[in-house]
Amino acid sequence: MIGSIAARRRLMLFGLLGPITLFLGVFFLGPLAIMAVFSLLEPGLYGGVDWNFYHWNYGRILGWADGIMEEFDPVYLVIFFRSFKLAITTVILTFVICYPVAFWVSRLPGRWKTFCLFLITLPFFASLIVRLYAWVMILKPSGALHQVLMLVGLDIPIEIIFTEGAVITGMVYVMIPFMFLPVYASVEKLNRALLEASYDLGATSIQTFLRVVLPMTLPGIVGGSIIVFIPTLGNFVIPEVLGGAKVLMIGNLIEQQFLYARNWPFGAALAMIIMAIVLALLFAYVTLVLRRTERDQGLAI
Amino acid sequence: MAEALVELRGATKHFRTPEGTVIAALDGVDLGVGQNEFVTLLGPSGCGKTTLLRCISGFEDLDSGSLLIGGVSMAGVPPHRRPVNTVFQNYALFPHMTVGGNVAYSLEVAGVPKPERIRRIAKALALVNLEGMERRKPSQLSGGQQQRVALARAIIAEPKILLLDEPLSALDRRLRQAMQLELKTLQSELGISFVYVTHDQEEALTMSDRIVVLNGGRIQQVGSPAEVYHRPATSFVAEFLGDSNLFEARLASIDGGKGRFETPDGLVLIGDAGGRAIGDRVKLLLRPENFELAPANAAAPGNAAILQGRLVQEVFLGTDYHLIVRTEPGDRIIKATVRDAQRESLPQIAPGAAIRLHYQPQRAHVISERAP
Amino acid sequence: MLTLYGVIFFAFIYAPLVVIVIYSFNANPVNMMVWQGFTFDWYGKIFGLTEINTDGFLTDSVYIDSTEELLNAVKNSAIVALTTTTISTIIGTATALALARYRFRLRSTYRMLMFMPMIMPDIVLGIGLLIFFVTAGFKLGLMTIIIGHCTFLCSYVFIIVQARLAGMDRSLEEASADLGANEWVTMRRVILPQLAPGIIGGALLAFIISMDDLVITYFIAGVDSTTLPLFIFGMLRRGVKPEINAIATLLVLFSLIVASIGLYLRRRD
Repeated sequence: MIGSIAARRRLMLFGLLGPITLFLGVFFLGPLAIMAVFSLLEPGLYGGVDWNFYHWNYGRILGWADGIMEEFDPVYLVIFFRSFKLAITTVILTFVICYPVAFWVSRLPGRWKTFCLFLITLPFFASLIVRLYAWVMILKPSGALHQVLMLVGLDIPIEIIFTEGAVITGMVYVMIPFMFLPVYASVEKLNRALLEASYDLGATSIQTFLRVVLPMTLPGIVGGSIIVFIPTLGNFVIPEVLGGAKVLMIGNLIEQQFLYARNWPFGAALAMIIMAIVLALLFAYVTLVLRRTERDQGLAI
Repeated sequence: MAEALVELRGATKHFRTPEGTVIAALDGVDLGVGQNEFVTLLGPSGCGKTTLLRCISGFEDLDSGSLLIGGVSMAGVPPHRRPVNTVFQNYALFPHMTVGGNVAYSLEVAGVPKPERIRRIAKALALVNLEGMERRKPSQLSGGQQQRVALARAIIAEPKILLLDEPLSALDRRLRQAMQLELKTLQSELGISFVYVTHDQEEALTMSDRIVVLNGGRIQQVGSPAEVYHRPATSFVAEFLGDSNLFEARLASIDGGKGRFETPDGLVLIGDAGGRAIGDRVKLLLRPENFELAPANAAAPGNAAILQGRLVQEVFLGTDYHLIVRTEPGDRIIKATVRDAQRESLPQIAPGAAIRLHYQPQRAHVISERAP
Repeated sequence: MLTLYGVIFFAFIYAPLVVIVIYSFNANPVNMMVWQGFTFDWYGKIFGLTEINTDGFLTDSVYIDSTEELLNAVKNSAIVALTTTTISTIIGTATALALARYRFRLRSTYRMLMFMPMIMPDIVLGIGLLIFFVTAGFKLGLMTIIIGHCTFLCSYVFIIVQARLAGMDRSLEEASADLGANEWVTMRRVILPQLAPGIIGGALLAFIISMDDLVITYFIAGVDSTTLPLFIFGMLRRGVKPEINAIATLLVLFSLIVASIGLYLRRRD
């Protein structure tokens, strides 16, 4: 009851923050730390680890391992590049799809707007695996797409499933809400008066778009791109379900190491690389984009 | 003299701006509030009046200085244990409770039994003219009604001191004026001391027993409405309350108690020398209503002093005429207000024509300002 | 023109779900992609009401599933989701309150820390937890799944509650203190009632996310503890039975209903 104000506040603060500190400290930072350690350990003969320092896991990614393999084998690098390629393609496609919709929604009258936002966000909460399965159903040779084309009289063989195209389709589909929300937030904040001022000063629609709209919605675009890029890069479910064994991404590789090849250190190393990429992206985003837009637009994002 | 209810000594509070500079929101403020007093803290935004209020209620800590309420030091005492209640600027009514729930909140928290609560709610609502509204929700009320609920909520526990943070600023003009009267009446009925914050000088003049004028974290003047209006201690106070014409001048000569002041551009003004020496620099205040319009070459009646100039513009405002005059010599723009009735008796003056203004020297208020 | 594009967009988003729903009523036991009439049979089979024997027709896949396994998976998912939701809602809300109402030196560090589990790719979290649990000697099972889910759902709830807190009127808390209520009473009578819709909404969404989680669960579920998404994933790998459409439809329906309520509660006021 009695006690200085400061002491009470401190007690309350500890009480509130204690649980999360403990939990994240042990179950979030702990795993990350131990993963880092594992990435530098030697894989044991029958799975498991030998606790020796072994930096060749990372070397293997770049193509060398152990000193035993003498030729440079870039198979893992190929997988990395493919993953990047697919991730970037996904980002671009989702952006192209979402951007116009963002404008459309932001122009809708009040209640429709909220309703549309709701509808766009909703499928995100339906199970991922179900949504992917639906695409399998659509894209497989005897699938729904084929059936619909048959109805119209076109008996074209559909060979989309298990190609990169299918994987991209799936990823775009799943990532749309992630791109849409940040982009929409940016578009919504756009001050119509600025557009009018641009026209008033003689700019055409295209010029206005390039000189006013695009720059001002850039924060949302960049934010959305990062939010899409990261999970796409490390994905394994989508490539597996829609790509089969034919489209291997980093995620599949990691999964293999853990469940089939039993080379945990190597898998850990791969995961560490992904984490490094993620952190680098975030760092770049925070320092470059956030600070600059705060300065330019005079507001805190 | 009755013991002061609130005593602030040397109150100082610093803030760090987002850019990193440190500003003093309060700089060595001394203040006392007595029993049954309506004190207004008046000043422009950023002058520290709200900070001062919040230091009393406990939502800000003083960096240095002392605060006593009822003779007891408030150092280390959290807001919920201070014997003051606040009426917030945005009312801060709990949206998820009814009017009754809001009003009786302090009683509930203190464990007052229900029958008594009901009785006191009714009494408090009656005091603010909101009988029977117990079951309504705040969202169903108008701004004025919400304001009264906030008031009722704050006074139900019968605090000795009520703090009001610009409570009327969100209301339209007519409602505001009506509420000013009500607040004043309420204060004297209840016998509680009100510490009222506002930037509206009219409001301050209307309601206060005493006005505390603040600027830049420092007290400029404390006094009754008449005092701060007619005898401002600094040019800031002079300009903040009401319209003013301020002249920087030097005391040139004294003649029988009256001083002859000269401005750098040659304007001569007569005012009370008041123990000043020749050569002293002062500021002279003449309010627009101190002037009388005189026909072009009329002699000055009695002791009146004269100002000559040319009319720039004349504006009719219902009860008064506002005259904007360019002095000769001096080429200064001054404002004069003349009552409608008086103006009507004199001929029309065209813009640019010569004009004469009379004033009583004892009305001219002389301010000797210390260097800041 | 933009409107047309918008409509197509919506069609694109919902088409796959619609496809599943339609095919869940397909009465073709052999080739489930070819439409052969309308039936509720598959739904019946899930609930054990009707018996349809499909095993004789399709020979290339091995069916180990039974309704019992499915129900077991559902049960596990529910247990995990409920426990996770409870824990993460409490912890997430507490953290949001702490960061919003107190100034302390590590505040921005904590803020960043809270964002990290959400921004980390699932797979990194999943294998990190796997390595951690195995090395620390935990047995993989429902408990580990719960812990794994809590790790990122605490952050999720945090972000939602924190957004709502930021939008809350601070002066209400000051008014409460001014009228004599200490921090606990203020929390109880002013903050939490106001926060409640946001907290509940966040909890419902966390529930759904936990129910639907695949990747993290995949790595840290033990042999005996299958959740519904894992079960479906397994089915996809091993061979697809027609009932899967019905299962999927029900799951989607359930998710969407709960998510709708959750979103609605979040947006109110």
